[in-house]
Amino acid sequence: MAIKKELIEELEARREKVLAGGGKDKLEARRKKGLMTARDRLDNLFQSGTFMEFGMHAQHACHNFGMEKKELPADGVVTGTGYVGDRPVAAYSEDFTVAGGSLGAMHAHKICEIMDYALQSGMPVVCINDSGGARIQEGVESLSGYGKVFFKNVYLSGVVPQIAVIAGPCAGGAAYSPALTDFQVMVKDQANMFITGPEVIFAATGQKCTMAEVGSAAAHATISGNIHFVADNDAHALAIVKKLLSFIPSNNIMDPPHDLTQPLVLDEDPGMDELVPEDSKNPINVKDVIARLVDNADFLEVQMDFAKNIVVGFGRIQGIVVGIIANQSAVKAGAIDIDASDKAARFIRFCNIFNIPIVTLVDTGGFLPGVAQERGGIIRHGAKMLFAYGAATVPKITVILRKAYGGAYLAMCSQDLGADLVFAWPTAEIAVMGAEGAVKILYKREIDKDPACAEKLIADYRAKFASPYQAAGKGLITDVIRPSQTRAMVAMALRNTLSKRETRPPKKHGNIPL
Amino acid sequence: MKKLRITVDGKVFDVSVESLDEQGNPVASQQAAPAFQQTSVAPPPSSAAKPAAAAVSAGPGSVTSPLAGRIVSIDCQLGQKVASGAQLATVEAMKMNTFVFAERDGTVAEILVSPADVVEEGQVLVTLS
Repeated sequence: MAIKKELIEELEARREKVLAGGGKDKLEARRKKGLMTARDRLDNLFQSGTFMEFGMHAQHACHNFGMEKKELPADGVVTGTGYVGDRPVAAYSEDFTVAGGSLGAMHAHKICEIMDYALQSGMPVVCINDSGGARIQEGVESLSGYGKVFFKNVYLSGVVPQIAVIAGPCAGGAAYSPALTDFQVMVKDQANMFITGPEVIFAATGQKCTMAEVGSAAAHATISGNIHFVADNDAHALAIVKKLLSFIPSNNIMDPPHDLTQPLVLDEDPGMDELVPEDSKNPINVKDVIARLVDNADFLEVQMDFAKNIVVGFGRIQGIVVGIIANQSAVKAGAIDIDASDKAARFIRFCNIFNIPIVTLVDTGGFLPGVAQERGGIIRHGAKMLFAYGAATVPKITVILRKAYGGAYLAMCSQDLGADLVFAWPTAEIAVMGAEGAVKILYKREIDKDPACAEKLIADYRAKFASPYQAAGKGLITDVIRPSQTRAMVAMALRNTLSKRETRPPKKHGNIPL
Repeated sequence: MKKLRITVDGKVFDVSVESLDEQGNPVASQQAAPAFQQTSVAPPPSSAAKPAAAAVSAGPGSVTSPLAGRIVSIDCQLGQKVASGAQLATVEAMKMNTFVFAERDGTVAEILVSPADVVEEGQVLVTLS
């Protein structure tokens, strides 16, 4: 008594055929070019042997243009779950060797199924995109497939983290699926992403451009801000995904993977004192501050090449996962502009969704002045940042390193915008505006009479107001601390605030000024 | 610096342990380089027209101001050979000094601004040959 041999043989034969994707020769050709296949990518992502495939035997649904005679293994997309570390994660990986990874009705159905499963089970989704686009033979069904995937992206947004890898072409409407996820990782050189490429742009407008200019990872990482990470190759892209997953929870009702087993260490770090330049006008590379603040200098920077005047990313402070938002005074004086506001606002909202405490490091002279900024809508964009901070209910700890002026002081998670605790270094300058500007308004008559007195008035104003003590005196900050105490104080503040509860009136959602 | 408590024959000693390099200088405790590396990229060149201010003569070798401000100092001299990353000028804006660095090796061919000059974003400050 045993199962019939033929049945096992048939299963194995079917499996073998599907595992070969578009053909063993095509898979090998990819590997020779240094590219991973769709299944190589999942094998790399998941712990060995933990991949559970969904819909391996799926058949495409096209009965036109000779397609009825063709078999498309797994319909060009491999879907399933597996373990990353000790946590289950859902993923789909498009197979470019099968009809160019084109998206037809079954392909889309499989993606939607795995996303539904991830939603119900509360696990992250990794979306590996490598597709020529819509399967034209399937016509409007293919278009509808994209629509369904987009709807799922939106449906899952805010419940489970979605991370997209753009590992090959991602053209036209297809680009909107990764765009709707939380993070996009794009592989340098082998991937491109655009709504209209150079040929269509030229046909429609006469503008000449290159693919590097409109569709490359470099363009999206630096100019458009469409993506969050650039990878050197497939393996690096998946390493970034795994690193990112190590900081974030599986869903919105879980806590991020804090490590609270170590005892709180309250040692001072004299190295932090040494980072502060004597001349308050000279910049601090805020990444040096962050490296001293987080455990093992291990900081995953998000959008490192976009709007470099603000730095955002993930780290742990004595085991507690945090999202850090910091003005970078070494770039554009740390002034907040349109791109910096958008970058910070989106990051803050991600942290809030997934219960990740926010640590804000303030060192900014203000919002960037300029015609381009005003006409570009710095009011609307800057308001996103104010909105995101104000709406965030996770623990919010702010450290004012140095400059904190005017609206930018408020925007960088001031106490008034809901910071739970605010620390300031003795170098903090918290004021409504800079001394030069303030004195011109306050002492206009005196200066008109005797322009020579301006210098002394500015010095007096600076001595009195460019300090943390005016704000401390009004109860706007929790305490003034030495830079060397920062890591210890922030670590303690985070532990104390971790159990924070904040309830607000029920509503569909606020109306963030998009 | 790491603190250890050592017990010898029932006597307790609290000692501090510090890693030193070959010259005997302390090695910073938070130096452990993470195995994971991130990749940084530069923006690809654009074939679209540059904004008017930048269009003046922002050719190759032009070193431009990253933001509008006032020149504090010129930190290089005509004819000086500079390496990539060398500080060439200091611009003050937003109550902060912004240092302007060479993006490649070269020789300072022109210095187009002087201290106290007001400059626009994208304005050429120095050219390298």
